[in-house]
Amino acid sequence: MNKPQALPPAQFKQQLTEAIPHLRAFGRSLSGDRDVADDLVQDTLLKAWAARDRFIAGTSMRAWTFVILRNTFFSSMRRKKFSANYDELVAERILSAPAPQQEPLHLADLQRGLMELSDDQREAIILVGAGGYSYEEAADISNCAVGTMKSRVSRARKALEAILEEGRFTSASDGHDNLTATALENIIGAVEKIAP
Amino acid sequence: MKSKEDMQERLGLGLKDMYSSVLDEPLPDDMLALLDQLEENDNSDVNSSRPDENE
Repeated sequence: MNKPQALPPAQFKQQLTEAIPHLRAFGRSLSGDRDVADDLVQDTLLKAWAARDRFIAGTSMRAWTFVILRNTFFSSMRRKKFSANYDELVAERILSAPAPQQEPLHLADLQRGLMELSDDQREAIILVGAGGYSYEEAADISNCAVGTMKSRVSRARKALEAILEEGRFTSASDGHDNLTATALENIIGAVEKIAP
Repeated sequence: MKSKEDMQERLGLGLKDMYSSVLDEPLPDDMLALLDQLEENDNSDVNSSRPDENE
């Protein structure tokens, strides 16, 4: 069996550069914060470069780097380096309305609404609903089954619609402590405290 | 029912607009400089590990 072909450095750099706008869009939607997103992208570029021998020529650089970015974000959230937030200043913008007679959707409301969702659901609707990825591609990036991805997107859409319709925002979208501490993470944290 | 469809449409367009507006922004200089630096480091590593042809 042939070894996967690695990209020459110049081509790797070119493809990585082309992925930057998408990484920024994904990172900003995920974190809700421009500066946090750009820090995330910088981390992702460093990690991607260090791991470039593992990138297989002919596969999607964007999907490969998205995996690095989301893993960095979620593992850093657990260590509280990054927190999901929303950027009030940037969010003043009004998003385009589908028809003149309809109420425009404010970016602030959408970003706050996204922050109300669970991490899984937020990531799912960003990838499929905003980024235009297929369910299969999004499932690959999120390392879950396609059926799970479809279910996450469906639940995220319904939840987001309800939040936006009712203006039902909680403190989860207000500040800097939107951390999802799962039981496993709590256990790991407790073990780390005990371990020498 | 109409308002539900409206909301779905607004949400779909809003999400796409939120995402694509970032794609239109110019690339930050510091990110491009970082990639240049990484490439330069690679090149200097290769050059320093290459045997001196004059020896």
